Amino acid sequence: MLRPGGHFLKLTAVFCLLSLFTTGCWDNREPEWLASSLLLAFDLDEEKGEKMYKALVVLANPLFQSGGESGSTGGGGGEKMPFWVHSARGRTPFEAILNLSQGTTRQIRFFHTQALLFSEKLAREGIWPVLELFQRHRELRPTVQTAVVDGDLEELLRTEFPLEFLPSTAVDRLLRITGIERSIIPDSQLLKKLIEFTRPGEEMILARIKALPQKVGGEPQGEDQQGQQGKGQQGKEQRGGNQQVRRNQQGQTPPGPPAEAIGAAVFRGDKMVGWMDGHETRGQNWVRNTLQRGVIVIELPGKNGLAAIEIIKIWSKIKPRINGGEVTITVDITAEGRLQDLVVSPAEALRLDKSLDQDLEKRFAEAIRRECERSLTRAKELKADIFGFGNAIYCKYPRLWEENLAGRWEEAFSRLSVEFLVEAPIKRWGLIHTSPSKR
Amino acid sequence: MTTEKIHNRQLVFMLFMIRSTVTIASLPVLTTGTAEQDAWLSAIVSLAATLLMILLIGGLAIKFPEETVFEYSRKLLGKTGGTIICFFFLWIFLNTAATEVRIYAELLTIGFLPHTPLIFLVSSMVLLAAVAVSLGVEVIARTADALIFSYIFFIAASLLGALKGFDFINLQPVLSRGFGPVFSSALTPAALGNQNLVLGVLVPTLTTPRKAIPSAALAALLSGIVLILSTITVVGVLGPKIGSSSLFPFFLMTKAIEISRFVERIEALVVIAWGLGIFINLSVFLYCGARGISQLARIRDYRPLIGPMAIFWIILSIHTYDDFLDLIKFFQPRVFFPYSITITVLPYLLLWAAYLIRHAGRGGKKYIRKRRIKPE
Repeated sequence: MLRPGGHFLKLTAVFCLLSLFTTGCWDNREPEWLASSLLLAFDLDEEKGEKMYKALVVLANPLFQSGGESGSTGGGGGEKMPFWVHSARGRTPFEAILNLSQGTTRQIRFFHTQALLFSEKLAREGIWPVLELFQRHRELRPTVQTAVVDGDLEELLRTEFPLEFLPSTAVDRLLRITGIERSIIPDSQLLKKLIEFTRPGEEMILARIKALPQKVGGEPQGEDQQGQQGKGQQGKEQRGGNQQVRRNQQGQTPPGPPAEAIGAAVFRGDKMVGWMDGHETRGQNWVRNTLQRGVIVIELPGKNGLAAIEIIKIWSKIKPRINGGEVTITVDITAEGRLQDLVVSPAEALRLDKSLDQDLEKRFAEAIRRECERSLTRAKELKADIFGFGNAIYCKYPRLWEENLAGRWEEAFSRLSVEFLVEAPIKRWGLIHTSPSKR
Repeated sequence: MTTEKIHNRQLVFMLFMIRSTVTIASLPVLTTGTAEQDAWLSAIVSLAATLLMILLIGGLAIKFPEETVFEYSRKLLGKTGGTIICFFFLWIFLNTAATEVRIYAELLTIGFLPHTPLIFLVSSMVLLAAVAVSLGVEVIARTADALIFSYIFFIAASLLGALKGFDFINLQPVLSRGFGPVFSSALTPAALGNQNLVLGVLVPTLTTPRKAIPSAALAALLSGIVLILSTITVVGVLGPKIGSSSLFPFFLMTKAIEISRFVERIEALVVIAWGLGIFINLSVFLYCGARGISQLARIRDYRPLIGPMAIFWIILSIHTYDDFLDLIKFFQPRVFFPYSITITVLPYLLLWAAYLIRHAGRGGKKYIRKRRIKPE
């Protein structure tokens, strides 16, 4: 039999040699036969009165050669687009993505999918079938970034993003960067959304990508979300001025950004019920401790200027409490700010003294509280508990939740009293402690 | 008969890998019962049950430090009774290993190699184990020695990588539905303690058989810690609902890990660790089965039996279950728990009873009082 030495070694050697010849025979897939999906998007379509899922895929084009910008397009590859958008329909999401191969010359692999987008139409009909596919399918994974597109989905995928080759990278980075820099969209990782969906007393909230129509020569359609009076107007003017300069140089207006990540789509169950704007979404981020960075502009005490405070650190906790038979929620928020801007005329430059410091802190906290309140009002309007207040109650008082609230949370949520306790010290002042004055 | 000896340390490693592989495979505390976010409590309960099982199996094994369970059961219960009980044990060795290799092959088919025939995956694993067994138990033990560090490293890396996505809220509320669901989830993992039956065959090969129980208990404790940590991590990352509805929760968790933009897709680590564990698992069970049959049939060497047994094993592993739904049904607490208790605990209770009766007249009672070993 098989013993060390002798036959055993010979047999092992023979098998090892044999295995060399089997490579490339069994189930081989040459890269030339494959195409990688980078982004999947789903839309809803109708055919003979039947609902059809429409899958859109962004495929990386392996024939594309980058760097051939300066006229010398070597070979046939140089004229190829870096990506190709393809779509197909099917009665289920999986049938739809399988039907994609009808018009594709290569087998589509989904391992490298970076983002998942939904059209508003599908979102309003229910997205769970697609979310389920992402758990079930072996090639898809729940780490992708996901969002609902407000506007024309297909056009968004076909437009060129100024700084990126591919719309998939663009969407992926747009969502991540906006989340980190502005916190005006909710956390957009798919896994987080799946967990939100499965938790009792919590509703899903997906990021919103607003597709901006690319009108040549038109005013950019960007939404200005820092809606403080005066400042918004100022921003518009500023941008208009820039447009003027560029038009003069090229004789034609270059297009603005093709899309913006701002706000959120609020769901009840797996059906979308409405949009939230950037402020409301950031309010939601305050409450759920998912806020990363952002800026709040407040008015100075004497109404003679503005101060921009950057949010550095935030910590928040939802605390349910039973008060005489009624459940109330207290949200503790601690935020740390850093003064980044003091917009005052040089003549009346302010000295930063203790009273101004305290005044700013009070106003900073008040601004945060207002943002949370605004978010709550909108959520109550939509009857969707996106903050997970219900889940907090379920975690602390599971009995009460099961017996009393689970069945009627939607209605109970709209009457829920919530108190926001905000503590917001401004700890850093940048590199100068006061504006240097002329005198 | 060759006198192969393995060190107690090697026994610890082997048992640890056998037990932890179940954890990273299907995480039964989460997938079989209804405990959901309380699954980590079920893990603690099942750890206690496993320790009891070790006392039951190992306690008898150290009474006969020179013999395997197949020899002393016939001494204790007579030739016929002993042989019948031995067939129970042989069946468990056969069935457990066949089931585990099937689960591993299912994972590979579902997750990585959708077109590869199941029989190819199963037979390559079993044949590898057969080679190891034919080289002897010392070789298996030394392989465990060599593999243990990469095994632990892979599991630890997966668990640490998951910390970024960990959310404590997923583990709440604790014990909201009382202890019922906790116990329902602990039944199958506790019944899986029948893997410790290998003690009955391995104890006589140990260098210090009388320390078998501490060694096995250490292995159970270590794998219990892995189980508890994995359960907490999986539930914390995936949430109780997604975790309990998945087939391979640990695998799904590693699939959802994104350590940074460039470090993701680390599920391969888990599959490698699982493969290493399955290899040790199969080798040990195949060895125990072959030793058992050779002793029952009074064949001097167990090696000629390995080939036919391996073939039998492959066929059983393919044909016992039609698909994964069968496996899920088999591991449901109301099926698996009575099944395992009937063919593991009851025979051992019989053996213990026979042992106590036979040794009662010869100062056995005093002996028992002194060692504080109580029959179950």
